[in-house]
Amino acid sequence: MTLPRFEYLNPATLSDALSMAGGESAFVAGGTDLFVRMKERITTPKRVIGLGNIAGLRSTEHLPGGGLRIGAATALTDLAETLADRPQWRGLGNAIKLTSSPLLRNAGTVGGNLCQESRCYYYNQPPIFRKRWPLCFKLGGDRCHVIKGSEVCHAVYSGDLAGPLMAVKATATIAGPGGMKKIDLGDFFTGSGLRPVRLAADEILTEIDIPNPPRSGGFSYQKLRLRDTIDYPLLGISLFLEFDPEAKVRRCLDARLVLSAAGPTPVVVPEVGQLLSGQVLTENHAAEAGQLVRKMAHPVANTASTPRYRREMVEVLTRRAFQQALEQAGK
Amino acid sequence: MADGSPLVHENVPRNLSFETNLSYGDVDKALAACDYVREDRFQTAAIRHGFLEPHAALANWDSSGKLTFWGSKQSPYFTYRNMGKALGIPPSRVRFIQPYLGGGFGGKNEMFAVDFCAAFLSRKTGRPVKIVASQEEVLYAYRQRHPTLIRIRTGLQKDGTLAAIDAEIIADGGAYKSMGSMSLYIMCTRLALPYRVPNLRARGYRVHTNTQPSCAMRGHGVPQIRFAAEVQLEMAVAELGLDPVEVRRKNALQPGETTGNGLKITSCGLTECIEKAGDIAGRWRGELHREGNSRYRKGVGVAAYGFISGSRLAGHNTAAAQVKVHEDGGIALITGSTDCGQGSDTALSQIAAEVLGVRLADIRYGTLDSEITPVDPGVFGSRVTFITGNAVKLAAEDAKRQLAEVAAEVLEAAPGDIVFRDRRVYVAGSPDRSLPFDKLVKKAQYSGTGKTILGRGYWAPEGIDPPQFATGMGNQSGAYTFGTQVAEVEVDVETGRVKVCRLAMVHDCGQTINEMLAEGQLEGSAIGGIGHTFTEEIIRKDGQTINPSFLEYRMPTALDACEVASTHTDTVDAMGPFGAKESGEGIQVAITPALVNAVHDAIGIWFKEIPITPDVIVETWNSAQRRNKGAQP
Repeated sequence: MTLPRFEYLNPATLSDALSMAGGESAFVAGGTDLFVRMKERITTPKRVIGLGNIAGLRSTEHLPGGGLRIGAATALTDLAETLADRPQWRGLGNAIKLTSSPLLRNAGTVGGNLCQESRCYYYNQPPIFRKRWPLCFKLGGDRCHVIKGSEVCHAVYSGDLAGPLMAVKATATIAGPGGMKKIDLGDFFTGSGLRPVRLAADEILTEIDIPNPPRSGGFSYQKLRLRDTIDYPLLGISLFLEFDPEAKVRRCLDARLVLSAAGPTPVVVPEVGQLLSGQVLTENHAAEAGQLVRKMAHPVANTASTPRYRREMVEVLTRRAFQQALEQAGK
Repeated sequence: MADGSPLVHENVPRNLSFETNLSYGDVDKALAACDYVREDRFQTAAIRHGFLEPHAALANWDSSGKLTFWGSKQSPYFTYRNMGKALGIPPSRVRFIQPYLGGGFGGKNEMFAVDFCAAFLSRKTGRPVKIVASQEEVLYAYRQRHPTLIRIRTGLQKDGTLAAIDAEIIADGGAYKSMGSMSLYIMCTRLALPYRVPNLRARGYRVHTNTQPSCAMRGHGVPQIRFAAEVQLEMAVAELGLDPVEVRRKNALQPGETTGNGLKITSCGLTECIEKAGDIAGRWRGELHREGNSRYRKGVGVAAYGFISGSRLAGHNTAAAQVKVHEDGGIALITGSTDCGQGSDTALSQIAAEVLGVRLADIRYGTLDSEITPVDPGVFGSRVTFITGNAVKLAAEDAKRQLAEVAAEVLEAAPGDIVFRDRRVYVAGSPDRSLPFDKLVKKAQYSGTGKTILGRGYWAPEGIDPPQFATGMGNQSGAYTFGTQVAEVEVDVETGRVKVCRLAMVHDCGQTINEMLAEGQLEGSAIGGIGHTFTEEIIRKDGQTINPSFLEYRMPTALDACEVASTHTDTVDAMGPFGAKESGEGIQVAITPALVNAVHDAIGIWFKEIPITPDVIVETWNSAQRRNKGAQP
């Protein structure tokens, strides 16, 4: 398949980029999500506005206080390398390397990964396929083929970065006609399969802030997939644990678990935080947390493998996330 | 297939596209008399060839009523003949040019709608017409490997000697016939290969369904049956408490044997393959650290196979070659064979260079053009090195003979004493009486009588029977190849993910013409087999393919590949060019059973359906654990 015709604009500043937006335009950074959908004629913007030439979007900045500010157009490979420099962020860096393949991580960007469209067996298809069934909600139609009779779209959000970044309490900065706003990354997601992110056509995700990692913390991203080299997740469990650095036991000060690739949006499971905060962690906590997360996971038949398997793996991956996060924290 | 089923084609009763019934010996008596019988049902899924160049056609109908056609075909002369028929013109008015090809794997033998439509539209418009299918269209609607249901009953003596096999093979042929009759014929007639099975009955049914047609694909029918037969043999051997390597060795065909259905085994290094593979498997098992409670379980499996070096279809079987010697000593070699990536252009050029004593760089191989290159059956059944290779050898020897006559005159020796080596000719025993190769060619060409050196050769193996579709009897190939595959896997019992850790194969391909190409063939075949076993499957909803992309149709990528070691036996085939036989395609048929046997070794569960997906592994493992707990209160 080849790309449809479009006009390509290459602004050098953020304000130019914003002024070009509107009326059937789309922003592009790495293009690993947008161009594939354009080739399938799922989306056919008349104007494509490249963000790769805006210097500010590609910079990485160490914030006073120890945090990290990542320009949204930073390539995933570059971010993984930056994170590898600091021991406390190494786990997060390894998580980024689980995204797709080296080639696609060289092209794909942080912002692009977060802003990617949700996916579905009935949506990510070539044009000939769309002649077979009436159009579904996500293609502008009036039904869902995954859950017959459903009144909402069940496309799955399959981004790899959202879960890990939400777990470490990242924030997102969005530029729009009204100026800049900074929100919790969790609030960036809509919860809807139709449009997974809260970003208007004339808004740009400009940067992600990762707060300073705690003195004693552990992180893990567990990704379920069928091929280890390129596939999207069938399920993702991200876990961030903060420990009392003075205590000799595994006393947990804070915990955040994010369930992703199991539904239309990545979600923090607050019950896990409530369960673990203030506790001295044992293996039982991992099992109990796994059950809590499983209750939240309702995968449907919109991608490879079976919903039953994806759901069953929630407990396994949660347990593994605990083990890895504890190891990483040296606990 | 059942009476009263809706018909795909009104003129095909019971949707039976093809059926065959092969039988020799007395199966019922042998099964009744032997010590041990087991029956199992195996199932394989539809998978894709996965070539990177989609189907493509460029046609130019000219005002003289001639068609020039550029295609993407591994067997261009199929289309050359069919195109003539379709357009109502003699094939000599079809000029088929085959440029370099982006893979075939059995999926580019036939003529497709893109080919015919391009030609027809060009005739209609008087303009060149090019049609290229998209990869999505190829994956969505073109050919696939036959999905099969195989019921197989095998009888053994208690020492492991195979007594009889009784099998029923039902294959989903999809909507059209393609070359599916051949597929079923092969499944039945090579069911017992590589073993000696004195009694065999194999009934094959190809059934139409309203899905994509199934056709040949690497290994053509044999991957499915080898999976069933090798896994079942391993199950039987385990129950009998025998050594699987020893049982394979005991039943291995030997040089000079003829199977019950007439396959004549000439060169055969199978016993050596089995023994060496057994050593490798033993070493690998010794290196495993098996921890009872670990979530990662490792295991090693072995499987053996036999394959062919070129099969015969019903019609034309001969390959031909021409060697033209330029006056500067360069050689123009043409044949009717197509290199679809397997490297046959190189292997054939090496054969010509070897005969004429020149460098590989001196050979120029011309790709197929039906107006210039000889007619050829095509590229299927692993025939090119073996059959076209012999034709090239004869053509080069013909040119050599013509040159030797000239050299004999100049050097005052007998033509039979002229040696061709290192781009020189000399008299045997007197290397000083010599001429450079290019000077010799000039002498021939510029002499008074003017000798133009053009060598010609054609060859087909003798004693090969056309397929007997009804009975399955007859010899199929000039030489059979053999091999044994060893696989080590690691199963994550919590997630059901299987990692293939390493593969090793011991292969009898006769003498290797090009070691690097042979290795590439073997490795590609083996890694392809990993996909068939674990990840590849055409998924359909309401009969429609729902994963028509290489993202969702999961072939192993280069990064998924594991370490693959290959060794050859030192077998010389008397008929093969310089002792060579088939190499590469055969190994794809043994990889699946080796992997399935390795998974059993790792977790103690037999899988009779492929692909073995993580969800199935988890479910089977968990219910086995529950059963074990119940058994030990």
